[in-house]
Amino acid sequence: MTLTGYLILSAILFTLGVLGVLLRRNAIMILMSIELMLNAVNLAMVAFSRFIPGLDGQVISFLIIAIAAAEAAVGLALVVQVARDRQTVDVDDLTLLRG
Amino acid sequence: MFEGLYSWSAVAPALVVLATALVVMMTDLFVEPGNRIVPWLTIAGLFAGLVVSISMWGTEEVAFSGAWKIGAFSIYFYCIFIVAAIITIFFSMSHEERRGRFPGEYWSLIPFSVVGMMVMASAADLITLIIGLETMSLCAYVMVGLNRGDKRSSEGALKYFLLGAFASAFLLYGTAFIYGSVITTRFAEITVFVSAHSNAIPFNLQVGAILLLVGLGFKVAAVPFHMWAPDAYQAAPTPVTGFMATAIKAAGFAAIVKIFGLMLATSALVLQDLIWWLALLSMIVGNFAAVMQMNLKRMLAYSSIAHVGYLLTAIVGSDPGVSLQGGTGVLFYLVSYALMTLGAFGVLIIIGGGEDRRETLVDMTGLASKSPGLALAMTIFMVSMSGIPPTIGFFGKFYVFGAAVQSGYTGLAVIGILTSVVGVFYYLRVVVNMYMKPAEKSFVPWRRSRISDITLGVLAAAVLYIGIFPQSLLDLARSAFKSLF
Repeated sequence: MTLTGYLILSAILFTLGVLGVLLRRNAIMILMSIELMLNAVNLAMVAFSRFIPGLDGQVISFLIIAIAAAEAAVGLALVVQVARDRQTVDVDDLTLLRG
Repeated sequence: MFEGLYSWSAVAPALVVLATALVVMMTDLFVEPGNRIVPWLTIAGLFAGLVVSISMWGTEEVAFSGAWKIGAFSIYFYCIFIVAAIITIFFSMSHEERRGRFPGEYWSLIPFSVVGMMVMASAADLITLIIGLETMSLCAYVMVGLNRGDKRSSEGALKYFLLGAFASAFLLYGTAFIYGSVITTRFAEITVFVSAHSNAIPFNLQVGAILLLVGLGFKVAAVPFHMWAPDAYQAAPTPVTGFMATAIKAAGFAAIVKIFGLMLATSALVLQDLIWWLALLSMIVGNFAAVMQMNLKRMLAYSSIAHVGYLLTAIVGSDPGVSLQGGTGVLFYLVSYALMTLGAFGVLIIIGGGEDRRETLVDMTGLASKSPGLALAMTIFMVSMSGIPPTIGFFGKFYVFGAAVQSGYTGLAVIGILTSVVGVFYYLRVVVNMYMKPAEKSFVPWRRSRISDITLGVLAAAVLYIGIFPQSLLDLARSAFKSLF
Protein backbone atom coordinates (compact mmCIF):
# COMPACT_ATOMS: atom_id res chain seq x y z
CA MET A 1 0.00 0.00 0.00
CA THR A 2 1.28 3.47 -0.82
CA LEU A 3 1.50 6.44 1.53
CA THR A 4 -1.50 8.03 -0.18
CA GLY A 5 -3.55 4.92 0.53
CA TYR A 6 -2.81 5.10 4.25
CA LEU A 7 -3.48 8.83 4.32
CA ILE A 8 -6.85 8.38 2.59
CA LEU A 9 -7.79 5.69 5.10
CA SER A 10 -6.72 7.97 7.94
CA ALA A 11 -8.70 10.88 6.46
CA ILE A 12 -11.80 8.66 6.21
CA LEU A 13 -11.43 7.61 9.86
CA PHE A 14 -10.90 11.21 10.95
CA THR A 15 -13.97 12.37 9.00
CA LEU A 16 -16.05 9.60 10.54
CA GLY A 17 -14.89 10.82 13.93
CA VAL A 18 -15.80 14.44 13.13
CA LEU A 19 -19.21 13.37 11.85
CA GLY A 20 -19.71 11.32 15.00
CA VAL A 21 -18.93 14.30 17.22
CA LEU A 22 -21.29 16.53 15.24
CA LEU A 23 -24.17 14.09 14.75
CA ARG A 24 -24.30 11.71 17.73
CA ARG A 25 -26.17 13.05 20.76
CA ASN A 26 -24.92 10.63 23.41
CA ALA A 27 -21.89 11.98 25.29
CA ILE A 28 -20.26 8.53 25.43
CA MET A 29 -20.58 8.15 21.66
CA ILE A 30 -19.07 11.61 21.17
CA LEU A 31 -16.18 10.59 23.40
CA MET A 32 -15.66 7.46 21.31
CA SER A 33 -15.75 9.51 18.11
CA ILE A 34 -12.99 11.71 19.52
CA GLU A 35 -10.96 8.56 20.22
CA LEU A 36 -11.53 7.56 16.60
CA MET A 37 -10.13 10.92 15.47
CA LEU A 38 -7.05 10.43 17.65
CA ASN A 39 -6.51 6.95 16.21
CA ALA A 40 -6.74 8.39 12.70
CA VAL A 41 -3.91 10.71 13.77
CA ASN A 42 -1.92 7.70 14.98
CA LEU A 43 -2.42 5.95 11.67
CA ALA A 44 -1.22 9.01 9.77
CA MET A 45 1.81 9.39 12.06
CA VAL A 46 2.86 5.75 11.70
CA ALA A 47 2.27 5.77 7.94
CA PHE A 48 4.39 8.90 7.49
CA SER A 49 7.19 7.48 9.59
CA ARG A 50 7.13 4.28 7.50
CA PHE A 51 7.77 6.27 4.31
CA ILE A 52 10.15 8.99 5.49
CA PRO A 53 13.46 8.59 7.35
CA GLY A 54 13.43 8.49 11.14
CA LEU A 55 11.15 6.92 13.72
CA ASP A 56 9.72 10.13 15.24
CA GLY A 57 6.22 9.39 13.99
CA GLN A 58 6.04 6.05 15.75
CA VAL A 59 7.30 7.53 19.01
CA ILE A 60 4.77 10.38 18.72
CA SER A 61 1.96 7.88 18.27
CA PHE A 62 2.78 6.44 21.72
CA LEU A 63 2.52 9.93 23.20
CA ILE A 64 -0.84 10.37 21.46
CA ILE A 65 -2.08 7.09 22.97
CA ALA A 66 -1.13 8.47 26.39
CA ILE A 67 -2.97 11.74 25.67
CA ALA A 68 -6.03 9.77 24.54
CA ALA A 69 -5.99 7.72 27.74
CA ALA A 70 -5.76 10.83 29.94
CA GLU A 71 -8.58 12.48 28.02
CA ALA A 72 -10.76 9.38 28.34
CA ALA A 73 -10.19 9.27 32.10
CA VAL A 74 -11.18 12.89 32.66
CA GLY A 75 -13.98 12.75 30.08
CA LEU A 76 -15.64 9.67 31.52
CA ALA A 77 -15.45 11.18 35.02
CA LEU A 78 -17.26 14.28 33.76
CA VAL A 79 -19.86 12.12 31.98
CA VAL A 80 -20.45 10.20 35.22
CA GLN A 81 -20.96 13.45 37.11
CA VAL A 82 -23.49 14.69 34.54
CA ALA A 83 -25.27 11.32 34.59
CA ARG A 84 -25.51 11.52 38.40
CA ASP A 85 -26.84 15.06 38.26
CA ARG A 86 -29.64 14.41 35.80
CA GLN A 87 -29.92 10.73 34.84
CA THR A 88 -29.12 11.36 31.17
CA VAL A 89 -26.01 11.81 29.05
CA ASP A 90 -27.79 13.17 25.99
CA VAL A 91 -26.09 16.43 25.04
CA ASP A 92 -29.40 17.84 23.74
CA ASP A 93 -30.66 17.76 27.32
CA LEU A 94 -27.80 19.95 28.52
CA THR A 95 -29.74 23.18 28.27
CA LEU A 96 -29.30 24.94 31.60
CA LEU A 97 -26.68 27.28 30.14
CA ARG A 98 -28.18 29.38 27.38
CA GLY A 99 -28.24 32.93 26.15
CA MET B 1 22.21 18.80 17.46
CA PHE B 2 22.95 16.88 20.63
CA GLU B 3 24.55 19.71 22.53
CA GLY B 4 22.18 20.54 25.36
CA LEU B 5 20.59 17.09 25.31
CA TYR B 6 19.14 17.75 28.66
CA SER B 7 19.55 20.47 31.16
CA TRP B 8 18.08 20.99 34.59
CA SER B 9 18.50 24.74 34.54
CA ALA B 10 16.33 25.12 31.41
CA VAL B 11 13.39 23.45 33.14
CA ALA B 12 14.05 24.77 36.65
CA PRO B 13 11.03 27.14 36.86
CA ALA B 14 8.65 24.48 35.58
CA LEU B 15 10.13 21.91 37.97
CA VAL B 16 9.62 24.22 40.96
CA VAL B 17 5.94 24.65 40.08
CA LEU B 18 5.56 20.92 39.40
CA ALA B 19 7.10 20.14 42.81
CA THR B 20 4.67 22.64 44.36
CA ALA B 21 1.73 20.84 42.79
CA LEU B 22 2.91 17.45 44.04
CA VAL B 23 3.67 18.68 47.57
CA VAL B 24 0.30 20.46 47.78
CA MET B 25 -1.50 17.34 46.57
CA MET B 26 0.19 15.21 49.24
CA THR B 27 -0.20 17.80 52.02
CA ASP B 28 -3.91 17.95 51.37
CA LEU B 29 -4.16 14.28 52.34
CA PHE B 30 -2.72 14.87 55.81
CA VAL B 31 -4.55 17.98 57.02
CA GLU B 32 -8.22 18.28 57.84
CA PRO B 33 -10.39 19.63 54.99
CA GLY B 34 -10.47 23.39 54.73
CA ASN B 35 -7.12 23.94 56.40
CA ARG B 36 -5.69 27.23 55.15
CA ILE B 37 -2.17 25.83 55.06
CA VAL B 38 -2.89 24.21 51.68
CA PRO B 39 -3.62 27.40 49.68
CA TRP B 40 -0.81 29.27 51.43
CA LEU B 41 1.61 26.46 50.59
CA THR B 42 0.50 26.69 46.95
CA ILE B 43 1.11 30.42 46.97
CA ALA B 44 4.55 29.94 48.54
CA GLY B 45 5.53 27.38 45.91
CA LEU B 46 4.23 29.49 43.04
CA PHE B 47 6.07 32.48 44.46
CA ALA B 48 9.28 30.43 44.54
CA GLY B 49 8.65 29.53 40.90
CA LEU B 50 8.20 33.24 40.13
CA VAL B 51 11.49 34.11 41.84
CA VAL B 52 13.35 31.36 39.95
CA SER B 53 11.80 32.53 36.67
CA ILE B 54 12.71 36.17 37.21
CA SER B 55 16.25 35.27 38.25
CA MET B 56 16.67 33.58 34.86
CA TRP B 57 15.67 36.70 32.91
CA GLY B 58 18.33 37.39 30.31
CA THR B 59 19.54 33.81 30.00
CA GLU B 60 18.71 31.81 26.94
CA GLU B 61 19.08 28.07 26.58
CA VAL B 62 18.01 25.39 24.12
CA ALA B 63 17.73 21.95 25.65
CA PHE B 64 16.31 18.46 25.10
CA SER B 65 17.74 18.28 21.56
CA GLY B 66 15.92 21.39 20.50
CA ALA B 67 12.45 20.62 21.90
CA TRP B 68 12.69 23.20 24.68
CA LYS B 69 13.81 26.79 24.55
CA ILE B 70 13.84 29.03 27.57
CA GLY B 71 14.44 32.72 26.98
CA ALA B 72 12.98 36.10 27.77
CA PHE B 73 9.78 35.20 25.85
CA SER B 74 9.06 32.13 27.99
CA ILE B 75 9.97 33.91 31.21
CA TYR B 76 7.66 36.82 30.36
CA PHE B 77 4.84 34.30 29.98
CA TYR B 78 5.87 32.38 33.12
CA CYS B 79 5.39 35.58 35.07
CA ILE B 80 1.90 36.14 33.60
CA PHE B 81 0.84 32.56 34.40
CA ILE B 82 2.23 32.49 37.92
CA VAL B 83 0.96 35.93 38.92
CA ALA B 84 -2.49 35.07 37.52
CA ALA B 85 -2.42 31.78 39.45
CA ILE B 86 -1.45 33.49 42.72
CA ILE B 87 -4.20 36.09 42.33
CA THR B 88 -6.65 33.30 41.50
CA ILE B 89 -5.75 31.54 44.73
CA PHE B 90 -6.24 34.73 46.75
CA PHE B 91 -9.66 35.16 45.17
CA SER B 92 -10.46 31.45 45.66
CA MET B 93 -9.88 31.82 49.38
CA SER B 94 -12.37 34.67 49.63
CA HIS B 95 -14.72 32.76 47.30
CA GLU B 96 -14.61 29.84 49.75
CA GLU B 97 -15.78 32.10 52.58
CA ARG B 98 -18.90 32.93 50.57
CA ARG B 99 -19.75 29.84 48.56
CA GLY B 100 -18.42 26.92 50.55
CA ARG B 101 -15.24 24.94 50.31
CA PHE B 102 -13.43 23.77 47.23
CA PRO B 103 -12.37 20.12 47.28
CA GLY B 104 -8.73 19.80 48.35
CA GLU B 105 -7.50 18.80 44.90
CA TYR B 106 -8.44 22.24 43.62
CA TRP B 107 -5.30 23.81 45.08
CA SER B 108 -3.01 21.36 43.30
CA LEU B 109 -4.89 21.57 39.98
CA ILE B 110 -3.91 25.24 39.64
CA PRO B 111 -0.12 24.65 39.78
CA PHE B 112 -0.51 21.54 37.60
CA SER B 113 -2.19 23.56 34.88
CA VAL B 114 0.46 26.28 35.29
CA VAL B 115 3.10 23.61 34.56
CA GLY B 116 1.27 22.79 31.34
CA MET B 117 1.22 26.48 30.38
CA MET B 118 4.92 26.83 31.11
CA VAL B 119 5.63 23.85 28.85
CA MET B 120 3.58 25.60 26.13
CA ALA B 121 5.46 28.88 26.55
CA SER B 122 8.89 27.29 26.24
CA ALA B 123 8.12 24.48 23.79
CA ALA B 124 10.18 24.54 20.61
CA ASP B 125 8.51 21.44 19.21
CA LEU B 126 4.90 20.87 18.18
CA ILE B 127 4.46 17.69 20.20
CA THR B 128 5.97 19.24 23.35
CA LEU B 129 3.59 22.16 22.90
CA ILE B 130 0.55 19.92 22.53
CA ILE B 131 1.45 17.87 25.60
CA GLY B 132 1.75 21.10 27.59
CA LEU B 133 -1.60 22.20 26.21
CA GLU B 134 -3.23 18.91 27.21
CA THR B 135 -1.78 19.13 30.72
CA MET B 136 -3.24 22.60 31.06
CA SER B 137 -6.61 21.75 29.52
CA LEU B 138 -7.26 18.54 31.46
CA CYS B 139 -6.82 20.48 34.71
CA ALA B 140 -9.10 23.23 33.39
CA TYR B 141 -11.91 20.79 32.48
CA VAL B 142 -11.90 19.46 36.03
CA MET B 143 -11.77 22.91 37.63
CA VAL B 144 -14.82 24.07 35.64
CA GLY B 145 -16.80 21.14 37.04
CA LEU B 146 -15.85 21.75 40.66
CA ASN B 147 -19.14 23.32 41.80
CA ARG B 148 -20.38 19.97 43.02
CA GLY B 149 -24.13 19.78 43.39
CA ASP B 150 -24.69 22.51 40.83
CA LYS B 151 -26.02 20.95 37.65
CA ARG B 152 -24.82 23.87 35.58
CA SER B 153 -21.22 23.31 36.61
CA SER B 154 -21.02 19.72 35.41
CA GLU B 155 -22.89 20.64 32.24
CA GLY B 156 -20.44 23.43 31.42
CA ALA B 157 -17.49 21.18 32.20
CA LEU B 158 -18.75 18.45 29.88
CA LYS B 159 -19.36 20.91 27.04
CA TYR B 160 -15.92 22.43 27.55
CA PHE B 161 -14.33 19.00 27.63
CA LEU B 162 -16.03 17.66 24.50
CA LEU B 163 -15.11 20.69 22.39
CA GLY B 164 -11.62 20.92 23.90
CA ALA B 165 -10.86 17.27 23.13
CA PHE B 166 -12.33 17.74 19.64
CA ALA B 167 -9.93 20.67 19.13
CA SER B 168 -6.96 18.65 20.41
CA ALA B 169 -7.65 16.02 17.77
CA PHE B 170 -7.47 18.73 15.08
CA LEU B 171 -4.20 20.01 16.51
CA LEU B 172 -2.70 16.53 16.50
CA TYR B 173 -3.92 15.76 12.98
CA GLY B 174 -2.37 19.02 11.78
CA THR B 175 0.87 18.06 13.52
CA ALA B 176 0.82 14.69 11.71
CA PHE B 177 0.61 16.41 8.33
CA ILE B 178 3.33 18.91 9.16
CA TYR B 179 5.52 16.05 10.39
CA GLY B 180 4.81 14.19 7.17
CA SER B 181 5.99 17.00 4.93
CA VAL B 182 8.86 18.44 7.01
CA ILE B 183 10.02 15.12 8.62
CA THR B 184 10.34 16.84 11.99
CA THR B 185 8.19 18.66 14.53
CA ARG B 186 10.89 21.10 15.71
CA PHE B 187 9.92 24.75 15.25
CA ALA B 188 13.38 25.80 14.06
CA GLU B 189 13.52 23.24 11.27
CA ILE B 190 9.92 23.89 10.21
CA THR B 191 10.71 27.63 9.97
CA VAL B 192 13.67 26.90 7.71
CA PHE B 193 11.59 24.51 5.60
CA VAL B 194 8.74 27.00 5.19
CA SER B 195 11.00 29.83 4.08
CA ALA B 196 12.87 27.52 1.68
CA HIS B 197 9.62 26.31 0.07
CA SER B 198 7.71 29.60 0.17
CA ASN B 199 7.06 29.50 -3.59
CA ALA B 200 5.87 25.87 -3.64
CA ILE B 201 4.26 24.90 -0.34
CA PRO B 202 3.64 21.11 -0.19
CA PHE B 203 -0.02 20.16 0.03
CA ASN B 204 0.46 18.28 3.32
CA LEU B 205 1.99 21.33 4.97
CA GLN B 206 -0.91 23.50 3.84
CA VAL B 207 -3.45 21.04 5.24
CA GLY B 208 -1.51 20.72 8.47
CA ALA B 209 -1.30 24.48 8.95
CA ILE B 210 -5.07 24.92 8.52
CA LEU B 211 -5.83 22.07 10.94
CA LEU B 212 -3.52 23.69 13.52
CA LEU B 213 -5.34 26.99 13.09
CA VAL B 214 -8.70 25.30 13.70
CA GLY B 215 -7.37 23.57 16.81
CA LEU B 216 -5.82 26.67 18.35
CA GLY B 217 -8.84 28.74 17.30
CA PHE B 218 -10.98 26.47 19.47
CA LYS B 219 -8.55 26.73 22.38
CA VAL B 220 -8.52 30.54 22.47
CA ALA B 221 -12.24 30.75 21.54
CA ALA B 222 -12.01 32.72 18.30
CA VAL B 223 -15.27 32.99 16.34
CA PRO B 224 -16.52 30.64 14.74
CA PHE B 225 -14.95 28.23 17.26
CA HIS B 226 -16.23 30.04 20.36
CA MET B 227 -19.50 28.29 21.30
CA TRP B 228 -18.07 26.58 24.37
CA ALA B 229 -16.70 29.74 25.96
CA PRO B 230 -19.83 31.47 27.36
CA ASP B 231 -21.16 28.20 28.81
CA ALA B 232 -17.87 27.19 30.38
CA TYR B 233 -17.25 30.70 31.75
CA GLN B 234 -20.70 30.88 33.32
CA ALA B 235 -20.58 27.34 34.71
CA ALA B 236 -17.15 27.52 36.34
CA PRO B 237 -16.66 28.81 39.89
CA THR B 238 -15.89 32.52 39.41
CA PRO B 239 -12.17 32.34 40.40
CA VAL B 240 -11.72 29.56 37.83
CA THR B 241 -13.43 31.71 35.20
CA GLY B 242 -10.92 34.47 35.88
CA PHE B 243 -8.07 31.98 35.62
CA MET B 244 -9.39 30.60 32.32
CA ALA B 245 -9.89 34.04 30.83
CA THR B 246 -6.37 35.21 31.66
CA ALA B 247 -3.74 32.50 32.10
CA ILE B 248 -5.20 29.91 29.72
CA LYS B 249 -5.84 32.55 27.08
CA ALA B 250 -2.28 33.88 27.46
CA ALA B 251 -0.89 30.35 27.03
CA GLY B 252 -2.94 29.94 23.86
CA PHE B 253 -1.51 33.16 22.52
CA ALA B 254 2.05 32.11 23.41
CA ALA B 255 1.44 29.19 21.05
CA ILE B 256 -0.24 31.35 18.38
CA VAL B 257 2.60 33.89 18.34
CA LYS B 258 5.19 31.13 17.97
CA ILE B 259 3.29 29.08 15.39
CA PHE B 260 1.32 31.54 13.26
CA GLY B 261 3.28 34.68 14.06
CA LEU B 262 6.67 33.22 13.21
CA MET B 263 6.91 29.58 12.22
CA LEU B 264 4.21 29.39 9.54
CA ALA B 265 4.22 33.11 8.73
CA THR B 266 4.32 33.37 4.97
CA SER B 267 1.66 34.56 2.59
CA ALA B 268 2.30 31.41 0.52
CA LEU B 269 0.16 29.60 3.10
CA VAL B 270 -3.43 30.83 2.96
CA LEU B 271 -3.39 31.32 6.75
CA GLN B 272 -3.25 35.13 6.58
CA ASP B 273 -6.72 35.39 5.07
CA LEU B 274 -8.15 32.88 7.51
CA ILE B 275 -6.69 34.71 10.52
CA TRP B 276 -8.06 37.97 9.06
CA TRP B 277 -11.56 36.44 9.07
CA LEU B 278 -11.12 35.00 12.57
CA ALA B 279 -10.11 38.43 13.86
CA LEU B 280 -12.98 40.20 12.10
CA LEU B 281 -15.67 37.73 13.19
CA SER B 282 -14.37 37.56 16.77
CA MET B 283 -14.50 41.34 17.15
CA ILE B 284 -17.98 41.66 15.65
CA VAL B 285 -19.68 38.63 17.20
CA GLY B 286 -17.95 39.05 20.57
CA ASN B 287 -18.93 42.68 21.00
CA PHE B 288 -22.48 42.48 19.68
CA ALA B 289 -23.31 39.29 21.60
CA ALA B 290 -21.92 40.84 24.80
CA VAL B 291 -24.48 43.68 24.52
CA MET B 292 -27.34 41.17 24.88
CA GLN B 293 -25.99 39.54 28.05
CA MET B 294 -27.55 40.30 31.40
CA ASN B 295 -25.30 37.80 33.19
CA LEU B 296 -21.95 39.46 33.81
CA LYS B 297 -19.93 36.26 33.54
CA ARG B 298 -21.43 35.61 30.10
CA MET B 299 -20.87 39.23 29.17
CA LEU B 300 -17.20 38.96 30.12
CA ALA B 301 -16.99 35.69 28.17
CA TYR B 302 -18.19 37.38 24.99
CA SER B 303 -15.96 40.36 25.72
CA SER B 304 -13.01 37.98 26.00
CA ILE B 305 -13.92 36.66 22.54
CA ALA B 306 -13.81 40.25 21.30
CA HIS B 307 -10.39 40.73 22.93
CA VAL B 308 -9.15 37.61 21.09
CA GLY B 309 -10.19 39.39 17.90
CA TYR B 310 -8.21 42.52 18.86
CA LEU B 311 -5.15 40.38 19.61
CA LEU B 312 -5.44 38.55 16.29
CA THR B 313 -5.38 41.85 14.36
CA ALA B 314 -1.74 42.22 15.44
CA ILE B 315 -0.91 38.69 14.24
CA VAL B 316 -2.58 39.03 10.81
CA GLY B 317 0.00 40.98 8.89
CA SER B 318 2.86 38.58 9.49
CA ASP B 319 4.85 38.04 6.33
CA PRO B 320 7.60 37.07 6.99
CA GLY B 321 6.90 36.91 10.70
CA VAL B 322 4.85 39.17 12.91
CA SER B 323 6.34 42.66 13.11
CA LEU B 324 8.26 43.80 16.18
CA GLN B 325 5.46 46.22 16.97
CA GLY B 326 2.80 43.54 16.53
CA GLY B 327 4.55 41.00 18.73
CA THR B 328 5.27 43.60 21.40
CA GLY B 329 1.65 44.74 21.22
CA VAL B 330 0.32 41.20 21.75
CA LEU B 331 2.59 40.61 24.74
CA PHE B 332 1.68 43.98 26.27
CA TYR B 333 -2.03 43.39 25.62
CA LEU B 334 -1.97 39.99 27.35
CA VAL B 335 -0.67 41.57 30.57
CA SER B 336 -3.16 44.43 30.40
CA TYR B 337 -6.03 42.03 29.69
CA ALA B 338 -4.94 39.76 32.56
CA LEU B 339 -4.86 42.61 35.10
CA MET B 340 -8.26 44.09 34.27
CA THR B 341 -10.05 40.78 33.75
CA LEU B 342 -8.80 39.30 37.01
CA GLY B 343 -9.94 42.50 38.71
CA ALA B 344 -13.42 42.36 37.19
CA PHE B 345 -13.88 38.73 38.20
CA GLY B 346 -12.54 39.59 41.65
CA VAL B 347 -15.34 42.13 42.10
CA LEU B 348 -17.88 39.53 40.94
CA ILE B 349 -16.53 37.06 43.52
CA ILE B 350 -16.98 39.59 46.33
CA ILE B 351 -20.55 40.53 45.46
CA GLY B 352 -21.46 36.94 44.61
CA GLY B 353 -22.09 35.82 48.17
CA GLY B 354 -25.00 33.97 49.61
CA GLU B 355 -27.02 31.17 48.11
CA ASP B 356 -28.26 32.85 44.95
CA ARG B 357 -25.78 33.66 42.25
CA ARG B 358 -25.32 37.41 42.25
CA GLU B 359 -23.69 37.87 38.92
CA THR B 360 -26.15 39.81 36.78
CA LEU B 361 -26.38 43.45 35.83
CA VAL B 362 -29.25 43.94 38.26
CA ASP B 363 -27.02 42.83 41.12
CA MET B 364 -24.67 45.70 40.36
CA THR B 365 -27.31 48.41 40.89
CA GLY B 366 -26.64 50.67 43.82
CA LEU B 367 -23.23 49.17 44.51
CA ALA B 368 -21.69 52.65 44.68
CA SER B 369 -23.69 53.63 47.75
CA LYS B 370 -23.26 50.25 49.40
CA SER B 371 -19.54 49.87 48.83
CA PRO B 372 -17.87 52.87 47.18
CA GLY B 373 -14.42 51.28 47.09
CA LEU B 374 -15.63 48.19 45.26
CA ALA B 375 -17.61 50.30 42.79
CA LEU B 376 -14.56 52.47 42.13
CA ALA B 377 -12.38 49.41 41.46
CA MET B 378 -14.98 47.94 39.10
CA THR B 379 -15.22 51.29 37.31
CA ILE B 380 -11.45 51.33 36.76
CA PHE B 381 -11.51 47.79 35.32
CA MET B 382 -14.50 48.51 33.06
CA VAL B 383 -13.01 51.77 31.79
CA SER B 384 -9.77 49.95 31.09
CA MET B 385 -11.54 47.13 29.25
CA SER B 386 -13.30 49.60 27.01
CA GLY B 387 -9.92 51.13 26.19
CA ILE B 388 -10.32 54.66 27.55
CA PRO B 389 -7.16 56.46 28.74
CA PRO B 390 -5.49 56.80 31.21
CA THR B 391 -5.72 53.05 31.74
CA ILE B 392 -3.62 50.12 30.61
CA GLY B 393 -6.39 48.93 28.30
CA PHE B 394 -6.01 52.03 26.14
CA PHE B 395 -2.33 51.35 25.45
CA GLY B 396 -2.99 47.65 24.76
CA LYS B 397 -5.52 48.54 22.05
CA PHE B 398 -3.34 51.37 20.77
CA TYR B 399 -0.37 49.02 20.20
CA VAL B 400 -2.24 46.14 18.55
CA PHE B 401 -4.27 48.38 16.23
CA GLY B 402 -1.14 50.40 15.49
CA ALA B 403 0.61 47.18 14.46
CA ALA B 404 -2.31 46.25 12.18
CA VAL B 405 -2.16 49.68 10.48
CA GLN B 406 1.58 49.38 10.07
CA SER B 407 1.28 46.04 8.30
CA GLY B 408 -1.30 47.50 5.93
CA TYR B 409 -4.48 46.15 7.51
CA THR B 410 -6.06 49.55 8.13
CA GLY B 411 -9.55 48.23 7.39
CA LEU B 412 -9.28 45.65 10.14
CA ALA B 413 -8.00 48.25 12.60
CA VAL B 414 -10.90 50.59 11.74
CA ILE B 415 -13.41 47.76 12.31
CA GLY B 416 -11.62 47.01 15.57
CA ILE B 417 -12.02 50.59 16.74
CA LEU B 418 -15.67 50.73 15.66
CA THR B 419 -16.52 47.48 17.46
CA SER B 420 -14.73 48.66 20.60
CA VAL B 421 -17.15 51.58 20.62
CA VAL B 422 -19.89 48.95 21.00
CA GLY B 423 -17.74 47.59 23.82
CA VAL B 424 -17.77 50.97 25.56
CA PHE B 425 -21.58 50.72 25.68
CA TYR B 426 -21.80 47.46 27.58
CA TYR B 427 -18.82 48.09 29.86
CA LEU B 428 -20.09 51.50 30.90
CA ARG B 429 -23.60 50.10 31.37
CA VAL B 430 -22.15 48.31 34.39
CA VAL B 431 -20.79 51.61 35.71
CA VAL B 432 -24.13 53.35 35.13
CA ASN B 433 -25.89 50.58 37.03
CA MET B 434 -23.52 50.93 39.95
CA TYR B 435 -23.64 54.71 40.25
CA MET B 436 -26.93 55.97 38.83
CA LYS B 437 -29.54 53.37 39.67
CA PRO B 438 -30.99 52.63 43.09
CA ALA B 439 -30.46 49.12 44.36
CA GLU B 440 -33.10 46.89 42.80
CA LYS B 441 -32.33 43.97 45.06
CA SER B 442 -31.66 44.09 48.74
CA PHE B 443 -28.04 43.38 49.48
CA VAL B 444 -27.06 40.38 51.46
CA PRO B 445 -24.28 41.81 53.60
CA TRP B 446 -21.00 40.12 52.80
CA ARG B 447 -18.07 39.49 55.07
CA ARG B 448 -15.24 41.70 53.99
CA SER B 449 -12.13 39.77 53.24
CA ARG B 450 -8.88 41.64 53.59
CA ILE B 451 -7.04 39.41 51.11
CA SER B 452 -9.33 40.12 48.21
CA ASP B 453 -9.62 43.81 49.12
CA ILE B 454 -5.85 44.19 48.98
CA THR B 455 -5.58 42.16 45.76
CA LEU B 456 -8.26 44.27 44.08
CA GLY B 457 -6.55 47.46 45.22
CA VAL B 458 -3.22 46.33 43.83
CA LEU B 459 -4.82 45.31 40.51
CA ALA B 460 -6.64 48.64 40.16
CA ALA B 461 -3.48 50.54 41.01
CA ALA B 462 -1.51 48.55 38.44
CA VAL B 463 -4.14 49.22 35.77
CA LEU B 464 -3.86 52.96 36.41
CA TYR B 465 -0.09 53.10 36.97
CA ILE B 466 0.84 51.21 33.79
CA GLY B 467 -1.87 53.21 32.02
CA ILE B 468 0.07 56.37 32.83
CA PHE B 469 3.64 54.98 32.57
CA PRO B 470 3.47 52.13 30.04
CA GLN B 471 7.08 52.42 28.93
CA SER B 472 8.77 49.93 31.28
CA LEU B 473 6.24 47.15 30.58
CA LEU B 474 6.52 47.93 26.87
CA ASP B 475 10.31 47.56 27.05
CA LEU B 476 9.95 44.21 28.81
CA ALA B 477 7.46 43.02 26.18
CA ARG B 478 9.78 44.15 23.40
CA SER B 479 12.84 42.34 24.74
CA ALA B 480 10.70 39.25 25.42
CA PHE B 481 9.48 39.21 21.83
CA LYS B 482 12.97 39.86 20.44
CA SER B 483 14.28 36.78 22.23
CA LEU B 484 12.26 34.59 19.85
CA PHE B 485 14.58 35.34 16.96
